[in-house]
Amino acid sequence: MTDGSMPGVAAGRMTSPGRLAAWWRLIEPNLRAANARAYVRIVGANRELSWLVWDVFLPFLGTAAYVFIYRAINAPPAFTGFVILGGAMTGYWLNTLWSMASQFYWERHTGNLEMFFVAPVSVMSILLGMAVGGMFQTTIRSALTVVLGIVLFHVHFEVYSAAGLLLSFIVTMVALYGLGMMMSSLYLLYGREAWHMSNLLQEPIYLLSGFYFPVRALGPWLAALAGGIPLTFGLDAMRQFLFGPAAMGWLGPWWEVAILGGESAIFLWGARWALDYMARLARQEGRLTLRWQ
Amino acid sequence: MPESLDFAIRTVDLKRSYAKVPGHGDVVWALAGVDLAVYPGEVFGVLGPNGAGKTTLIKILSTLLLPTAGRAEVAGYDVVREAFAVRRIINMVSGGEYSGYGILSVRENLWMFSQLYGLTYSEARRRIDRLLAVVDLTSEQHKKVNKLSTGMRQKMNFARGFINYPRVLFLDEPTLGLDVTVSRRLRAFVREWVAEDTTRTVLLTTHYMQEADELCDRVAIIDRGHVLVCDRPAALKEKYHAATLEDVFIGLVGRSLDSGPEEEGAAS
Ligand SMILES: Nc1ncnc2c1ncn2[C@@H]1O[C@H](COP(=O)(O)OP(=O)(O)O)[C@@H](O)[C@H]1O
Ligand SMILES: [Mg+2]
Repeated sequence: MTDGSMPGVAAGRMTSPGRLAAWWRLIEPNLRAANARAYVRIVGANRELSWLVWDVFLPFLGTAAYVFIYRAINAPPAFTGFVILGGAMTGYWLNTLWSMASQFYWERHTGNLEMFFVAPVSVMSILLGMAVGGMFQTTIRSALTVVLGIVLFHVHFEVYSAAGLLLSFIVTMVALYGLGMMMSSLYLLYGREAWHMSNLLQEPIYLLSGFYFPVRALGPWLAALAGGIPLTFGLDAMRQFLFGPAAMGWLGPWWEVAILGGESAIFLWGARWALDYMARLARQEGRLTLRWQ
Repeated sequence: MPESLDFAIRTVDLKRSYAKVPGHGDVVWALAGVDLAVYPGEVFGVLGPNGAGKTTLIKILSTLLLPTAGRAEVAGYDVVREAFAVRRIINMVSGGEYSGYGILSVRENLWMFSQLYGLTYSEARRRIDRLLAVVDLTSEQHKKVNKLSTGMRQKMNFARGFINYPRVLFLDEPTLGLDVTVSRRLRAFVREWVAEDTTRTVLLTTHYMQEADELCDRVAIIDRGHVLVCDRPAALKEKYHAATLEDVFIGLVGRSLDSGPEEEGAAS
């Protein structure tokens, strides 16, 4: 975007503390903006406790159904763990689709989007705030799902590699929310379409990403296709770090972590590119807002 | 570097067209060559009927819309090439806008917006206290915004516009739909705001001629993307031997300000 020069930095020769200070002057508002946008999610979304029903209890019923099916067919006990893990991770996917990908449609509708663009911060920091807030909000819900699973179904997690588990979780989050940021930017100008797209992606991906079973069961071609969605490798890697060989992993877990790292970079770069492109288009066509007086 | 420091706002032959039907060749000229010069310390009014191009002008000056041709500068910064520099010193409010988050309180919303300008918590708190009092929302500050009336929500957004103490503030029909007492209160604050620090500038659009008359140091009357005249309200009335700005407008274009847009603008 032709955002012009940033005066603080361009102001000629500076000593290096001066340069650091100038750099900080550019970064700080962006961090504050991200923090403020995250606050909306973290505080706002937890204010009414109805989320306990909608975001934890009802989804848990769906997860529980899978547990009973696996038990009925005498699947190995590790499968119960798969299902609980899958159930916990489902929340992140839904959050990415409904609170990231189609979010800017709503922000544009209310006029917030214009306010973000008129402010001297990068809209990337708004997306970052949405992502961090969404992650935090979902983590509370997912943690509750895991606790419920442990208490009700006596799931026993071995944890083969705690470091691996943590790392694979983090890199999955970055890749997943990176994808969310990219979709959000791509859909900056397309409201309804974004909504339909999210709807379209919701169900098939449950199946493809192997929320409730090892992705290897899909066969190599379908699995490779599903690999474009960070959750596929993320879940597979996390399962391997949790359950070891019983997880029936697809690729080696560290390979999967590396691939997720690559996906993170691509999605984040893609988000930036898409945002710049769409913002320019929106400013050209006068479409940062839906209405005009 | 800024080229013309003496202007708060300057446009030269500024033009903007929109496609009548997206993807079609047919265009509407919302701005058809606008030249304006606004000085620091002024409350400058852009007065015109619906569809005159007021909002388009404000969107271009606030970097939300690209011009089709011509130039526009805010405090000497080009709104296209130096958009970032412009954003650091401006803010914008449009009447009837309902930005903000319904699940947050009035105070939280103002804080949220203050963070887009990197204000520290204590500075934000001080300004929010002041602005809440200005728009008379102090007793409502902890109410969730989705519980507010539209008028209150509009007042909150008016306050939001001042949160970064902008050097140049754009107000697009700020009192649209507000009752007389509230409108008067907000107008009084705009005057106070500029008087307090004469490096500040406010550009506001309106189609209420009385608002322009009361509030503005100078007004530009625009119609169909053209500036018809630009001067102090008193000078305009004198020059056109008119009792009100409304009469000036009628004298210039042969119809009244409230007559609304011609056919094509009606869909807005
Ligand atoms: N986004 C847009 N797409 C197409 N036409 C537009 C758009 N915005 C404004 N217009 C048209 O441009 C003209 C000027 O509109 P606007 O700047 O909103 O005027 P005002 O604010 O004075 O009412 C009107 O004819 C309006 O219909
Ligand atoms: Mg308008």
